[in-house]
Amino acid sequence: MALDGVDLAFGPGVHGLLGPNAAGKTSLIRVLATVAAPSDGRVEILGEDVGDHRRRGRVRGRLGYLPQEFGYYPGFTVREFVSYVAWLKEMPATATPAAVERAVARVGLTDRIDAKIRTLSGGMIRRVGIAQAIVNEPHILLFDEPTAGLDPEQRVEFRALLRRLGADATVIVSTHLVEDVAAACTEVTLVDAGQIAYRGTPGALAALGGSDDGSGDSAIERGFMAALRAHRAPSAAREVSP
Amino acid sequence: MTLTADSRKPPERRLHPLRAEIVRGFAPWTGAAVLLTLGMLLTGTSAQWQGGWAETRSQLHDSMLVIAPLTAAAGCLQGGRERRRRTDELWETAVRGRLARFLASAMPVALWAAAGFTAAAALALLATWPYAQGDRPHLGLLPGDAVLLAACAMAGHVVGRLVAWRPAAPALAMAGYVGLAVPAMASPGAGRHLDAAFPAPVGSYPVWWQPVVMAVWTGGLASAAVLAYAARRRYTALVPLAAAIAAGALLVRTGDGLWHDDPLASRQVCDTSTTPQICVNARYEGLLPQVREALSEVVGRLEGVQNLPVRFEDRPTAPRHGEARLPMLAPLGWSVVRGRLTDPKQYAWEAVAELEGRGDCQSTLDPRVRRADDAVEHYLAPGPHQEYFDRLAAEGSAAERAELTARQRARARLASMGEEERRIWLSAYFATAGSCGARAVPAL
Repeated sequence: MALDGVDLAFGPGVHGLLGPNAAGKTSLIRVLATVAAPSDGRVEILGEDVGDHRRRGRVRGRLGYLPQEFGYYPGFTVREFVSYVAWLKEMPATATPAAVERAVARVGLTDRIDAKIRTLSGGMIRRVGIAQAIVNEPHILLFDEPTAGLDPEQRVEFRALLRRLGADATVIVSTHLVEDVAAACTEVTLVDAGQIAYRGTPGALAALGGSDDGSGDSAIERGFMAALRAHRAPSAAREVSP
Repeated sequence: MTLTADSRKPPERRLHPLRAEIVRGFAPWTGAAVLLTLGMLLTGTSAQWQGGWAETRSQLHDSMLVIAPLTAAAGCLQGGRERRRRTDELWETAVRGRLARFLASAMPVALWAAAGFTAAAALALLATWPYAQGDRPHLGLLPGDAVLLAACAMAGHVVGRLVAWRPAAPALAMAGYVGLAVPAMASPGAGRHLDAAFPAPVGSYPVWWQPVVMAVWTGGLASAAVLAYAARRRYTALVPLAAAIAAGALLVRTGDGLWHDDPLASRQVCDTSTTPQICVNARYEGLLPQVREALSEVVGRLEGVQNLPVRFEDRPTAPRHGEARLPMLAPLGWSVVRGRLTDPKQYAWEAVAELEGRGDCQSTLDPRVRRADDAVEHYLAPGPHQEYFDRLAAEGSAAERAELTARQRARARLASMGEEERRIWLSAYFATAGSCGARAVPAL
């Protein structure tokens, strides 16, 4: 079982999903992206129950998703690929060209918009993935390990983009890089073994590690470790809950 | 990476998002592969078809045996694309349904395959045009063949989506080839009428509705597979499946009635100024002057001779009373290539042999009759290999050398006759045409 008894609500802002490998972050993102259906329970996004076919379609039109393994067609140009995604999102044909150029500009690929994706570097391809996720100006954005493959400068700029996107939309970022969360997120959810181990602000998480003299190079890393330990020791869980 | 500046300038290009699916990736290569493969097949056999519209049609249709499995394999490769490119995950969040996504991916291959075939067919018809000697282009089977290719691409795409096995495409091509070839080669049975690639004989034409029903059969099966795989309401696959079953039942029940002989092939176009008259099949009307030219020496030497057939006829069936069969002009590539008689001397010699009409009893013929036949052929139209066989006989056994001497004597005797004497002898000789007995044949 990848997820167990998860009860979450996300509002506008940038939400970080933190957790060790195989904690269930990707499973949660996939459920939220309507790729995977929960075997039990209910998922409501933007007020719509995604268990219903028609409602799920409406949600998908207002959702952007960058999976952990971003698949693309190498023979397509950036413009063609992002346009194709826009078509799959049923965006109005008249609005698509401008939306594509806008999305590509936001990830800084305007000068390569007519280059075939196969000619781009790994970091650029990741940015194409971000562009396709935001082309429909989504209300909910789901990024699964979005900074993988980005160099430090690109990661800094991506965090800035996250903050801007989070001003209007609900952005959920799954990552195992706590510094991304500290820099960009307004809220953090720690997932461990398929369960929610902690919810709070990055500042609160960092504060958890403030009195902790355990492992971790930064306050938020120490907080992350403290929250994990607390979750794994049920008797202590109540003490660290925000 | 500049992430701050939103671009608000008006878009410069407004191409449809699906254009990329059509012009990029694997689909155009499929069209090119179909065109190239057909080009190779047709080029290698051009002597057999580039001179008759019916031959061109048959060659194009028969090539389905190779092209249809190739197209299915191409569809299969395209069907595995999302798995190879790992785009399945992303496309699962698309608003457009599974069927729309399937069609967006599969249709370009189907369309390009059909386009490649159409282009090859157009080129083949253009190549036939300067050489066709009669008849008219036969286009009836082409739309059905194009539908077959599209259906193969779609069905192959379904297989590609379902089977995550790297050699799936070549395996499907092999299976498709066997599936199409076995009914084509097997003994006649009703099932062969369901084989969309079953060879189309040159002299036969489908009834007008056969290509339509065949398209419903192949297209219905492919559509059923697509809907069963990709439609949200999978039971909708029953509609095309029912149509395909109905079409298949109609094809099987009609059986041989699906095809009829070409009415033009039974009509003869004649030159009545000669004796015998010279008639060719109306499908090759334009060849009549060449045939007359090839036989002009024979006809000239037969002037005044009695007991000749009324006419040479160009029919696939046995000659009727008072007629002799011309050497077959078709299948092209034997006597005629690209509208030209390949070997007029050979053609004339074969025509004289048909005048003698003893083809059925060559092995039992009396040597005296054989010598008379040889002398007549030598006089009217010597065979192109006569000198070679004479040389072989001269180097052979004593019996063979003696027979050669007798043959040469008979030839010399006929050649040395006066005009009137030869006319009388030939009249008596042709009175025995078709007879295998020795008595009636006049001596030389």
